Amino acid sequence: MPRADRDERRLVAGARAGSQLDLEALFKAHWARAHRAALLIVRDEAAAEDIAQESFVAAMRAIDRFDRRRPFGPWLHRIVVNRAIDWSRTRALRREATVATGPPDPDWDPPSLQLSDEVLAAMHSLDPDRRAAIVMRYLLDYTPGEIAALLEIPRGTVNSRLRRALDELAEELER
Amino acid sequence: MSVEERIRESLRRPLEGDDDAEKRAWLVVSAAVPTKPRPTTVPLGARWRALASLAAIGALIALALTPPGEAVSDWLRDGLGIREQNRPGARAPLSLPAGGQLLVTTPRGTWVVRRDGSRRRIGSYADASWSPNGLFVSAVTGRQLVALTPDGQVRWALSSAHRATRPRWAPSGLRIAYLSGGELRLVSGSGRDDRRAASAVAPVPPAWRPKGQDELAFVDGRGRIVLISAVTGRVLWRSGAAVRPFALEWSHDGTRLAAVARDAVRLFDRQGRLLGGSRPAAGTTYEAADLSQRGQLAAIERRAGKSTVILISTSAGGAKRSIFSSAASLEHIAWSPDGRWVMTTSPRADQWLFLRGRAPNDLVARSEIADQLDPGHRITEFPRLAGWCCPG
Repeated sequence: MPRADRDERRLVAGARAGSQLDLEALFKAHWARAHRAALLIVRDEAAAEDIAQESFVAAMRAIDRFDRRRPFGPWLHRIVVNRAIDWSRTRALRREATVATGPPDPDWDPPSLQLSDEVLAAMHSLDPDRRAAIVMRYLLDYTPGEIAALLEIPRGTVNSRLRRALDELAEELER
Repeated sequence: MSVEERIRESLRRPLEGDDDAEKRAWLVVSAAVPTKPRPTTVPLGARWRALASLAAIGALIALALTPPGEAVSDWLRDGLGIREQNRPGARAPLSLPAGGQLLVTTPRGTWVVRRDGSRRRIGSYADASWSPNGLFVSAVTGRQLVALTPDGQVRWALSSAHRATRPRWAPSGLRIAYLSGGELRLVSGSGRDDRRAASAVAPVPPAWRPKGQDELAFVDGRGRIVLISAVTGRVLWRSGAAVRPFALEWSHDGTRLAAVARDAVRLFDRQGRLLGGSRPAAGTTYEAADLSQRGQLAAIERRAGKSTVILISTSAGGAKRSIFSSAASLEHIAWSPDGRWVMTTSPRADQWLFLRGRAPNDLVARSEIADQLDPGHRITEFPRLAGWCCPG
């Protein structure tokens, strides 16, 4: 077994036993990619931060159900990506979060991500499912088969989303 | 460069603010995920020196307690800084009979008091509360809401349009609720996304349900209890009649909500159905209350200046029993994290009282509280108990 995997198993076991040092090391090892994945899918800085940190908390709270023979990353990434897709689909509804007994707060307008990079800007044209496929393939380095397993969708659907997303991005970048 | 290569390169390029986001997120994650404190490593040489010092101290104490040694006992106390609790004029230590740390606010400062009685001033705040695992404190001063560590390091601060009060950290660690300008507001545990959750609310501390996904009870301007989901913003239920409580307390398992008003304690289930309650005797009012992890509500009943600490069962139809009475008025009340001790304060006697719920008048007292937490100043307000957290 590679040393990195052994180290990660040790961190997961330590965090599970309540070690703050191991939890912090696990967090530091996975935060950047989890946060980046969420940010690229939802394109909203505040939401991405919330999604990534809530996913990490959710992953740690469900750690007893986690198969310790497997790496922690995919377990976390599945939660992050699913939450990011859900958030993107229901973005309009999320404004209801300010409604309780009073009217919505007119001053509350979540800041969205401002991107100067052409590729990242072009990703704006993709729907959340395709953005997620691109992020999982080219940021998180999963194969189409692994993406299908993590998102629990057919492999053909993943291939189709990736192909269409690449076509759309190529078209946007040529403009 | 192919489209795929361009995508791969772009997705991995660092973005501005990534480091700040990581720091904020770690604050939230460490507050939300239960951990044990970091071990303190003591070098081997230091351990031997400590053992040698303890042996020497033990020998001196043994000498002082024998008749020939009595003459040196005063010298010993002075030299080692040992003070007896019952010596005339001596200060009683602030040590706690159970684990955890107290959060106490005085007009001149906010203090964290540890079990051994050592204390640290963490700033000057009007109100404060613990994060779920006691790793952080949320506090307010003027229009500012801050999150800080128990050693006083401010992690973030935000300014509200109006005076901020009653900060309460969600059990998930992900959100903090507070009141400002008549509004109930929510902010993430990392200090972002400050927003209004409700307007025209009563100045009663909001109460997070200990289980579930961040459900928050508060009192609206008409005195009704409202439970909302902080995730979706949906109103989950609203009590029909005006209850006008001054405190809301959830049971540890989140199945019961106690609404404590001057004239009654009412118990609701998590769907908002009234289960029952308890009323004080004629001419008596409830003044403060706290719910233990074991489901007992400790409350102060007051009648003509006399105070009684009572325990009300939240599972047995509101049955109540008295555990302590005082001719002086008692003010604050809090359960120890292990649910074995009830703490209350007696401003006139300048004491903290720790009551064991099992036997009437079975108590431990700590004296000269105001002088120790607010030394050298005229007492304008007795140190207020803001929370006793967490098991440890």
